Amino acid sequence: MEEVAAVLGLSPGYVQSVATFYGMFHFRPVGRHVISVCDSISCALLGSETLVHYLEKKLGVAVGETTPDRRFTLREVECLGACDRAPSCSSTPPSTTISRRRRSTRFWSSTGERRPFLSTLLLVDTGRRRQTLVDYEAEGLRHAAARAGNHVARGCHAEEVKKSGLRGRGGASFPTGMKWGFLPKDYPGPRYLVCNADEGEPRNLQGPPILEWLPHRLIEGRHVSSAATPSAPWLAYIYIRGEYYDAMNAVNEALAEAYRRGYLGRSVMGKQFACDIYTHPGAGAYICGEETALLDSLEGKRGHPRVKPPFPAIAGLYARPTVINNVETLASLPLILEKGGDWFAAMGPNKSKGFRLFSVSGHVKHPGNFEVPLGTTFRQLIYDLAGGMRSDKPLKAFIPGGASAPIFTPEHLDLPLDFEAVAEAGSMLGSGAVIVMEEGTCMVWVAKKLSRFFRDESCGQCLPCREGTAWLNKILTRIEDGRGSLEELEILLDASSNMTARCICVLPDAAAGPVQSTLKYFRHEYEEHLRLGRCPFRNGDGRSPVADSAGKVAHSQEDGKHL
Amino acid sequence: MSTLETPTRTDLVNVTIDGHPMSAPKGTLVIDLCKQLGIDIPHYCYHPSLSIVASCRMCLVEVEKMPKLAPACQLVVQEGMVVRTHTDKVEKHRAAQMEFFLLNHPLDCPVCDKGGECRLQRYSMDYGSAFSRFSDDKRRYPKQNIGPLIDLEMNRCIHCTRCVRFSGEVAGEHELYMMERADRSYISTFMSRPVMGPLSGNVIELCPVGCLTDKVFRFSARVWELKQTPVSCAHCPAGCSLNLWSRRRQVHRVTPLGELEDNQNFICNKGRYLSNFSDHADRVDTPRIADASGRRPVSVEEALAAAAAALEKAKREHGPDGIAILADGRRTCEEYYLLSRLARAALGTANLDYRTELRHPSAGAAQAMLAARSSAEPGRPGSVVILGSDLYGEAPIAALEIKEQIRRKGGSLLIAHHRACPWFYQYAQAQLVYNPGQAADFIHALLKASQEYLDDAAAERAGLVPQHVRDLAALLPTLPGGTLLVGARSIDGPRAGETALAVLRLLERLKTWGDWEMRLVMPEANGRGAFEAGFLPADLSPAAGALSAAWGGEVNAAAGLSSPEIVAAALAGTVKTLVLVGEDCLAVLDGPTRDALVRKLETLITFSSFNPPASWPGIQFPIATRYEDEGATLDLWGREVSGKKAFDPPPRVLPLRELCLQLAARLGKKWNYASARDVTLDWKRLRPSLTKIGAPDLSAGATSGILASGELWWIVDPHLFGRDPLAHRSPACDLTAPRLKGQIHPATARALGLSKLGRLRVWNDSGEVVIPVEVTPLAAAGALYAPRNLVPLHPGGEYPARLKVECET
Repeated sequence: MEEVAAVLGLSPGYVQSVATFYGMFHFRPVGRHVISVCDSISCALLGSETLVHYLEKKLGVAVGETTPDRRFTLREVECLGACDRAPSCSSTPPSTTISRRRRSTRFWSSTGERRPFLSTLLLVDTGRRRQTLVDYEAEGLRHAAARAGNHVARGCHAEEVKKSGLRGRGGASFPTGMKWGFLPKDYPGPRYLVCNADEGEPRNLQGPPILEWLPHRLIEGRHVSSAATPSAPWLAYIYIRGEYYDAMNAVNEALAEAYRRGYLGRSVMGKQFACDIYTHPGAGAYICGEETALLDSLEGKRGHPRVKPPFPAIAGLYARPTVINNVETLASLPLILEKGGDWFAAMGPNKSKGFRLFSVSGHVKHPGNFEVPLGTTFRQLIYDLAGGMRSDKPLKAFIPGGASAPIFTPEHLDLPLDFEAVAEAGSMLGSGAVIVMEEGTCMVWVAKKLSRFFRDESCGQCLPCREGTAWLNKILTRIEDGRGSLEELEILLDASSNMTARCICVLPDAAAGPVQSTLKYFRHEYEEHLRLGRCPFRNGDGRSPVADSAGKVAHSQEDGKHL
Repeated sequence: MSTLETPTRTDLVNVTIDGHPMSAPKGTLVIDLCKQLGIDIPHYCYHPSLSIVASCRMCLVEVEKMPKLAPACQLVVQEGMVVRTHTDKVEKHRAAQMEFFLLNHPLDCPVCDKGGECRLQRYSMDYGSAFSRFSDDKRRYPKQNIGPLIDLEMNRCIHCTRCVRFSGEVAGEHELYMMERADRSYISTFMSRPVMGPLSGNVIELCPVGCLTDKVFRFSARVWELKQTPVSCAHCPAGCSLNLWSRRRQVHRVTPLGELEDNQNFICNKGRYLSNFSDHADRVDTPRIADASGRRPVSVEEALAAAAAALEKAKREHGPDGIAILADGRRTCEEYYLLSRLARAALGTANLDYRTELRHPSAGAAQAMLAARSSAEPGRPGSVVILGSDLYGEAPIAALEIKEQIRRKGGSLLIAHHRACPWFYQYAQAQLVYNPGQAADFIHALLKASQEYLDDAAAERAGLVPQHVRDLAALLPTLPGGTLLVGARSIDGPRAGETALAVLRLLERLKTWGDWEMRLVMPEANGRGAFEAGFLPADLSPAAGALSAAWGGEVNAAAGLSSPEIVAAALAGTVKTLVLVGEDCLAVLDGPTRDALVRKLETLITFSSFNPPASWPGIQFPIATRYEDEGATLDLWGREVSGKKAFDPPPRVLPLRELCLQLAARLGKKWNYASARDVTLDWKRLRPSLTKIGAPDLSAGATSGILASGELWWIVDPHLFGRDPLAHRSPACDLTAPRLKGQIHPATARALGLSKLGRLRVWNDSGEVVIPVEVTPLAAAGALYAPRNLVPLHPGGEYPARLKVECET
């Protein structure tokens, strides 16, 4: 660290401070292979705890330790972006994701017919490999860079996007066109466009397929958004989660292609338009998915969400005007331009326009990404597209929009995928990660798992979040173990409500959601835990209270042999 | 450091706070506005000197039309804003916050040194609950050791990051950091290295809870049992106001003066940790007369009678010029004033000086002239040029003041010295390093370059790249004005006169470009005060009339001998009676020479708080230390800092002020001072006259010597935390002492065959020693930086000093 500091001209303490903030730096020698087991809710639902126990036994080391022969280091991580293949774990080097299943290729159309999507919408079937620039152009979509200088006056872009009603696909669902509108109009200096590919929200796996297979669509999206806003040079960054090794490589290759073709660079397609794109890997911090924390991280700091104002549109990256868009948002742009804002707006109800990727994971038959027009119901998504429950057990609960979204029960299945309707029902569409849980899943355990995730991933800046997430996790861990008192359920509610709407970012609100909603719908389970003095779903062998995990163990063992 | 004033804004906006409509300047923070209104908004992370992080979430208030509670520390007043600070919602939030704060906070107030001045205690009295709903194990961190000065008790931390922000943003020392994230995060230093930065101690007051406490003070007293006294620091020319916390005659701790919370005054670790010297075993507690038969205690009267008789006899037999007074640089203005009155009016001698560090006879007059030309205007805005001074090493708080001014208000900072200061890197637009003793050549080259004459030879003589000098010369005329700070230590040696004249020429040139003023940075703690009290051998003839009118009778207003001249005269036997006031007045001499000097004297009269060397003869008076008497000092900027008496001196010890009066009375002078205040008033009345000194004759022409082979210039500038008479009598002296490492330029190191780190054998007439050195471009080429108070060698009388060196294998 001292040498890094000397090279960068920083104080060594600063380097240590930044490096220890992120999860992917090692401070002790690790084994030749680092085995990272995903510990987030989707994988946990499908038995990652069992996998960890198995590996611990097999390797003879606890999580975080290295085998004496320095061959293996075992660690738990948050989400490898492979929830469709849960439980997943990865081993480095080589940077392969080992999993029971291969990456899902099922992209199903909204009609429920099981046919791959055609190029009409965002996702195209590329046969699980990266779409090259040649393929991309063969699709008939002309590269926006080519158009940028030609006939589409800048600004028309923005109009078109506003018309489309496109809302950010990140989680906050802020209208994209409006976000661009906040940029100062005649700012002379450089401005930045940042693509947020650090959605570490467990079970949110729309990012990887776009990055891995369709990077050109993203690159074009960049062009559109940079052209949509007034002139002056643009610098764009794609901040990609450190865990997505393959995505990083794919994007870099695609960028090289685009540079070679002149779609990027000082003078795009020979026109007076400069656009450079850099990729930047994250280093394992969920909070860096928050846009201002991402900016701090990009600047080489600890990823702390910033106090606002100033908003990034005024003073973002390096205190310059900055637009931050999510991968999916940007990737949708070429289609909007190609087909027009009205086409996009025609899909979906009310204020929720267009189509969107939803990733369904958990106890469903076919976990994966599904692209549907907004307005489709959860029932269609879960039962028609994801193939329904994996066993005969009925659905018990589902999370409609990533770990930060309060939980839903079967009564909400007929809600449409509509930002407002979901919000009205007390949750949010958020990142579009639907996690399905079948009967027999312990909801206290789910809440505990989620609270642990938020405890670990809080940046530690604001008091209510830092202390509150840890407190919730302590209480939940105890209750799940059957220890505690009924009064503590009130403390849970009180503490979680004391955390909400008090902090710089919304992570504590997100952390409070699962606790409040599980208590709302499944209070009896909490009481049952306390009455029995143990988890009613555990079968006494210490395994995770996830139904039918025996089968998973067998699979995990097979995987273990490959190691 | 003075309070940083907020920029004046004329635009006002109308806001309503707690139902009271009012107008406030645009850009005011709600938390500041509330403080002015006397509305208490609880907060932890906000501090007026630090950047805003809004992370403790304690100061949230209700603002109309805002859906969420908003942090008052980040909220800027807007037209029509309606703020409520004490609604149910806010109160409930504060109670919830207190619960979160106390979840993992240990209940160890009874053994916590912050007790009584802890914000957590205060706000939990206001908002906290008496019962905890937290039934799990509290979070515990392993105990960390971050050095001997500051104790870090991480379990008490509330993660407000004030210390981290101070260490990086304000102190610029970048020592403390937040490590890890989430609830695992903790404050630490890189690999738990000790925190030793000269400004680091301020985190103790900045810490709103008991996480960072004073390791030297802790467990020795409860703060409410201690007496607080405002005093002025006796250590360096920054002249900070200190709050001395004492019990009986013991200084327990030192904090910056001002309210403890949100205090924007900072002090350095020297003032903080090394002010407890009054109680040292070396203290002289009774007057003594030492002669061939030994040292015997006498009464004050007896000693005074002996001293008066000796002085009268000396005056009678050898004339007043055979008497000289040397005082150290730490006296108060009143003491200097009485001493100069004693010398010039009662004894009739003009041989009096406080600049005991001076080496060359011509330097005294040169420095006095620059002091007289210094402006009297403190804290000028604009740019700052520091010439020939390592300000951060000499007076850290003065350096901090300049740095904060540049950081907050803009302006350029330009530095030229014989050693670069990395602390200023981030803020200084340019730092030039010239060869030791070659400041005159540097200024010469600079002035020539500004006239577009090329005199690269001068630049090269100064060891500089001519282009750098030209760049600087091109930059200076573009600046609107500011302050030229000149280090008095650089105005020494055979070229002192030439350098002083060059500085004045530079000042004249600067004045044609912009609104520039000059300040002399004297190394003495109260050098400015001594100068303005007339305690120097300058030609005071312009003020002769005023002086004799005020003092009555005959006054010797002529120029006298400066400190090196007095020493030389005493060695030559022309000065036969020497009065030494304070500690270590003959420090420029090595031991044998000093003893030889003392033996040559007819009479030696010493006034000191601590024992003079046992072998010294003469009449020895014990005097009160700085904190045992009241008195004013002047800081670097000429601002007056008044000090009160913190505790009584030992029984038979009188303040110097009192002894001066009694001695004058015995010499037949009736001075009408009823109280200490009268002396102050008298001095202030004469102060303008005393600073008018006649222009000395500064004949230029001498050249500095040339290095022989195997020799290096020795940069002797003392280290702030090295041994000095007061510091090494404080118990914490060993704790603050830095590990010595000399510094040497890479080119010089190569010539010596030294790699990155190594050891050098250095020697001169006074002895030989092996020191570790680091190779760094900070030092000038051909020079070795090795502070003289850390190297057990004596630099001799030459400036710049030189050393013979050899690479130690």
